[in-house]
Amino acid sequence: MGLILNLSLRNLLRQKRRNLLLGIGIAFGMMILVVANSFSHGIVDVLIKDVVSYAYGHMSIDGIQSGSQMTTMIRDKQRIMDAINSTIPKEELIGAEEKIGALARAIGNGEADNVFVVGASVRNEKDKKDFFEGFFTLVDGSFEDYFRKDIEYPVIISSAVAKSLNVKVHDVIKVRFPMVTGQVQTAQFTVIAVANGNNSFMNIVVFLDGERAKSLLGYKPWESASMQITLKNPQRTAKAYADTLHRKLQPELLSIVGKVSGADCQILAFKNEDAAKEELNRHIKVIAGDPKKAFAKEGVMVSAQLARKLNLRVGSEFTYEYRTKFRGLYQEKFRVDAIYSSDTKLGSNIILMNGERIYETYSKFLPVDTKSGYIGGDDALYPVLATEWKLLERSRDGVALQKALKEERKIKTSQPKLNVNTMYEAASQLMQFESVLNSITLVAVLLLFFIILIGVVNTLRMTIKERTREIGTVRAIGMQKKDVRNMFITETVLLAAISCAAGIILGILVMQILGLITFSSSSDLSMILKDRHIYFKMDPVGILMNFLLIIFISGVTAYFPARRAARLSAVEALRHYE
Amino acid sequence: MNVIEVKGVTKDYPLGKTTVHALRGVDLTVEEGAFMSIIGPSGSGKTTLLNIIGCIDTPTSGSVKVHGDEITELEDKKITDLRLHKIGFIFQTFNLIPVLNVRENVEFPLLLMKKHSKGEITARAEKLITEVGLMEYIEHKPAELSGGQRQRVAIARALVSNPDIVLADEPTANLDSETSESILELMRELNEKEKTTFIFSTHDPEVLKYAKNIVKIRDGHILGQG
Ligand SMILES: Nc1ncnc2c1ncn2[C@@H]1O[C@H](COP(=O)(O)OP(=O)(O)OP(=O)(O)O)[C@@H](O)[C@H]1O
Ligand SMILES: [Mg+2]
Repeated sequence: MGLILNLSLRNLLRQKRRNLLLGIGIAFGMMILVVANSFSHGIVDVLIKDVVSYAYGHMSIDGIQSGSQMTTMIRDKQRIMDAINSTIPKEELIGAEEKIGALARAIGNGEADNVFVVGASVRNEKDKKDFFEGFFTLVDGSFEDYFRKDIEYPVIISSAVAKSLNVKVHDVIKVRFPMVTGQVQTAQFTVIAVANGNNSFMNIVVFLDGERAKSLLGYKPWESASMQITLKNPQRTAKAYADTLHRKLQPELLSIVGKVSGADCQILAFKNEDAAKEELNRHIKVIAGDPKKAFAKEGVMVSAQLARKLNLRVGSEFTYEYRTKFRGLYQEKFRVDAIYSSDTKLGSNIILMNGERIYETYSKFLPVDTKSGYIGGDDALYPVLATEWKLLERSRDGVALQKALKEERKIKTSQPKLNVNTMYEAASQLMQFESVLNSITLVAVLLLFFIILIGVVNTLRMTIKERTREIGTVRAIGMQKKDVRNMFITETVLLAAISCAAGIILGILVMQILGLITFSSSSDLSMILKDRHIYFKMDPVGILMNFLLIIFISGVTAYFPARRAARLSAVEALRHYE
Repeated sequence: MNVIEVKGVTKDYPLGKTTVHALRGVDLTVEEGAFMSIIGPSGSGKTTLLNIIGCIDTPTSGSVKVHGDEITELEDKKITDLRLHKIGFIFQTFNLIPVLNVRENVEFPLLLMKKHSKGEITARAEKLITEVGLMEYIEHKPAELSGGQRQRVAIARALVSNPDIVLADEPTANLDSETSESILELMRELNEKEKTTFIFSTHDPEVLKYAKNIVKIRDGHILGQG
């Protein structure tokens, strides 16, 4: 083998010009491949790591509350956190954060624009490093002021926002935005720093401390808009964890255990759907009051036993009292629309009402005690009864998700909803970008293969013709056919390997040079830029695979001409004159 | 003992619609240590005969024995091996490997054999290069040598593997007469010293004075062996 390698190497150098030509072709192709591959990896990295994962998290659990407007609201943050923590092992979880944000109208110095107010908590040195140093490039001001207590709302804005609002550091921005409660909130933000995030999607964002943003937008400390989960290996784990979380977040029956005039009672609710009401009607009998009113949106029904015990009649009012998780004792007045008798497992102390009557109370004043005389999942009444929230089906992609949300909006209900999705579904359109880029790389690969195919076959044909007498000589001396064949294959593979290596180095150089160019952040390219530079990310495994593939292809391509050369008759080859 | 036994060998070449009978029933025996010249005019079949003896060509009919082994039935791999170990070639056009220097060209057959140590290979090659008088050119490439020098390298290469027989097809045809004589003298010297059997073809009667045995060939027939 040493002999063959030695011969191949020297023969390569002998036919310098021809091999150089093919070599340059392969190197050039490989360079394009490396650059294209790194470019697409870079873009995907920017999009996924910075943009998509920033906007969606690798995974996110969103509470949706439909009042007059759709707002995001999770009532019991801790319960979601518990589900997350019991689903995702610590070593796979980078973090689960509250995501707070709202579109706001901002007025600066004589200029107004829409901005997106985002809550960003910086709690420790690591956050500081990641956020202030890693994410931002400071233009003016000081990040330290972000923590100042004497300023009510210190914010960081981008140069783009600073420009459009005509403000500088220490200037005040007036903002107006809707709160979760539906009211309109106004506030005065003080710019403490102008800094640009590492991608252009952050251009319209105004960053405000997470806790302050939360209270400003009307969230209570135990509430959140949505939970944003960052994973170690999102590509591998996100979907599976989302599916598990989805299973764990199946809602339970809406149930409030409490008291009326000191007597133990339980509120259960039925769904505000015709089918559910009909089914319920088969199991209970309205013995007093207007059934129509009883089943209507605001309908409240008391069991006959309870009515007797509490001396309640149709039309009479009673006060329901229960302990809440976060707000102490809570009381609410209800009016009896009907009295029913029941043949089912429904307990004797049940107050039945339409879900729409109680959803809001329930989610605002979450009860501590929910389980008393519970109806099981196999009970006929179970599907009739309202649940704590509606868990949306997992969406396949962004389009399906948008469609599902649109459908939900059509249904007038105050039942809160919960949606679990990963960025792969939510941002599926963006993700598709990756496959587009991959196909560009594929074209480069095919092009390169074409060069190799044509180049190798041609070069070898010429080489073999030129060296026919030499082939006859070595065959006569006693070189085996397969060694002759291997000599030519080695020559080609060696050429391909050297050229590929040169191409990779060339590619790295090209990327370094292209990486030096600074683009303005308003450029059309800005979406794919990182810190205003084209961002390349080498994928060593992918490049290595391509490298090996090219060597393999060149070997296979060389095989047939080389074998033909090896099969030449020694006599014929020796007689050969050019 | 006979190194080569050729019996009733014919070789036909199809040429368009006709057939060229290059050899028309050749019988030839070559004894060990022979220094045999095959002489005949152009087209008489010298090259054809040498190629068949050298196992790079097969006869149309007849039998060829090298050291008693019938070679016409061997598969290519075995024949290639036989050439490597038992036969040395010297070509009219020298046929050195251009990318290798003198030393490497001479070492080439030994490297193909894969049975000698590096030291043995070097020693053996240098011994032969010394014998052909090219030690000072040992690192030169063929292109940097004269015709005579190249043929000396070829002779060293043919002999380096200690073959039973060295075949030379008109080894001096591309050399001037002075150089030709020195080449033939060298071959003769090595024939005596190394006891290697030499068969060389020529159409130059001048060359005959070096031969121990002469075989005359004409139109594919052996006219006489003596
Ligand atoms: N491959 C071939 N195809 C057709 N005819 C051939 C072939 N090789 C040799 N011949 C013919 O066979 C005959 C013998 O040729 P050969 O080369 O053996 O002669 P030679 O004695 O070596 O001649 P020279 O002295 O010119 O080298 C010639 O008539 C030649 O034309
Ligand atoms: Mg001839």
